[in-house]
Amino acid sequence: MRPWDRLTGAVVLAFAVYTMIAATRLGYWQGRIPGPGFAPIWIGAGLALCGLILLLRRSPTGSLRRPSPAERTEGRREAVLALRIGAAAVAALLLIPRLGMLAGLALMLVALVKVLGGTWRSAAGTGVVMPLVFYLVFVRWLAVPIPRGPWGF
Amino acid sequence: METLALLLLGFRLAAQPVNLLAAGVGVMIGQLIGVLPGIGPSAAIAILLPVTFGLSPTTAMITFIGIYYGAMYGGTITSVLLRIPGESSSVMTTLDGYEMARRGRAGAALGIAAFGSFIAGTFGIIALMFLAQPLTALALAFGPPEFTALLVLGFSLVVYLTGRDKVKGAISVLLGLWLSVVGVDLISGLPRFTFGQLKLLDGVQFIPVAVGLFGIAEVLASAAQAAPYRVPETRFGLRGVLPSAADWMASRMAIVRGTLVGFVVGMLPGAGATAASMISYTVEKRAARDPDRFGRGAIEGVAGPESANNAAAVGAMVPLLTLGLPGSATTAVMLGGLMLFGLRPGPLLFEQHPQFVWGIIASMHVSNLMLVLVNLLAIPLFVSVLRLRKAVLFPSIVALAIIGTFSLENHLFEVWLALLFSAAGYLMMKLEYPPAPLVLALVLGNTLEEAARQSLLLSRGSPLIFVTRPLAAGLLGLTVVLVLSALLRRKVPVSAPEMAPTA
Repeated sequence: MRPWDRLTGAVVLAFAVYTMIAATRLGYWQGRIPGPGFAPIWIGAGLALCGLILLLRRSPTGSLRRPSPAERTEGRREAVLALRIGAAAVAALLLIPRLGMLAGLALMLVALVKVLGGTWRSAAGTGVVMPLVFYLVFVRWLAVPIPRGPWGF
Repeated sequence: METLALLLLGFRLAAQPVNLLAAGVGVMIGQLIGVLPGIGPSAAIAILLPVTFGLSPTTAMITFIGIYYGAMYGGTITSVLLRIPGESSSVMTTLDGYEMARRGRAGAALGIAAFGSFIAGTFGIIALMFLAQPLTALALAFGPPEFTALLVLGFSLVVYLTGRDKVKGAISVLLGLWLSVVGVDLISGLPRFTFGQLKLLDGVQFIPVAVGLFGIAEVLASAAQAAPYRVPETRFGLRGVLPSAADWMASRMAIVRGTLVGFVVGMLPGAGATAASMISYTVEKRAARDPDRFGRGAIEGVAGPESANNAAAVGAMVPLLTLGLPGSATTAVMLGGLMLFGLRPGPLLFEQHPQFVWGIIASMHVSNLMLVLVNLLAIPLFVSVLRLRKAVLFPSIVALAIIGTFSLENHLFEVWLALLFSAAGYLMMKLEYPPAPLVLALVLGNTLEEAARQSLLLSRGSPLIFVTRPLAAGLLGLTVVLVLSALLRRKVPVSAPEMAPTA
């Protein structure tokens, strides 16, 4: 975890510097009262301190043990799966304005069930049943104006 | 006497059919969430919040409390039967509960957990009833400097009690505070950190953040874990789950100690139900004549922690309702939800909306009773839920999160935000940054900034106002002691990820 701690420490420090510069421009004081930059400057200072500690500390309190090759393979598999789930969700969000909310979610559900190892039958079932439930709850009951596709739903 | 009259008023409200239905739906959803790994009560409440906008604030809050308590009870089932805690607060139950199940005593473990939880919950609610009035009176004496000091102490406690790496806990709090300042500054009218996005002028809403960090991120992290589950063959009929006289004798003091530990720990910001159950387990092991039995199916190892996590769930409601300070991620989401309903938890809530507050307190008793009945009579139903495949469950959670977040503002911007925070939440989990303090800070950040600026306005810019008023000085003094003890103490007794106040 140590190299990652260093990296996140550097990112936090850079973000803190940006925050403090932007906050200084907003103004720490406005006359005799705290200005809009008052809280962000303190937050930036706190982040800078924490980032510096992460960068400089010698004995990390995180995991010291290096992962075994099997754990690394498992970690990679988990990360790839998470990326595929995220990609399906992003694709659905890009499709929703064109296809409508229910059709976009139906496609995402089918894709995700398959990504997670489900059968085509369960994918098709989930892709039909869940949007139907969403239609009944969100459109019919709560009257949420969801984006509609070219076919009217 | 006045407390009892107010409680009766609350029961009249809680007994309305719509509120009984809300409590029933809430406890069933909570129980399901507790049973199913991959989603916790904070995510469930955040996702379902937009669905409750058509309800009254009281009915919505009764549903949320049902979900919260239900998750505490439900997490026990998987801990005992599968050695997988459905909720982090049931992690200690895996040690002796699963061993009891292996020896054919799963029913007794689930039964004593249900009774212990009921007793602890009931005690906690009664304590809340009698603590609420004096705490409210104390809170009414708070001005902006005292409130600033109280919030600073609260955040310090969150950092101190959450996770083994306090620097990472502090970063999580500070990032939450940073997110809370995004948007138009209410005093000067200047936009802050909006990056030209009109949607950010109103600030970062906490629901997309909570849905991303607790809901979708949890799915991303859990998706690769092995399933389906194999449930051991056990009888879960009423006879099978009723504890014997010997079980009662062995567990009675564990339930008492667990209840007391849980309630006190639950009131502390950042500690939460998980820490309460861990401390209770340690207490039971120390109190036992034969501590070697622990980890081998000791019923006290189930009764104590399960009582503690339920008492802590009630304890967490004390600072939320009386001071407006959430102590855990779930109560932070509840606070955000109440604000969306136009209610501001805190001392004035008791004065201005007594029906709401006492209706909530009465509904806690109702939910608690419903849950013990559900857990004695309907365990097979929830065991059957474990056969639901994650390939169907997880995509459904993601889809519900998307449409639920959309319905918040009827805009896809919030959904993109939720996805962004799900990626952030996944990274935070992998890099061991606790996500709960970020949501707590996001919900309370504006209050802290407002209180600090009002204090300095009162003192014409002099920070001495924080040390010249005795109550504020005392609270800040406690913060200094806490920070110093964290700096001087290298080791924390309870290990990190389990301490995260996700419940």
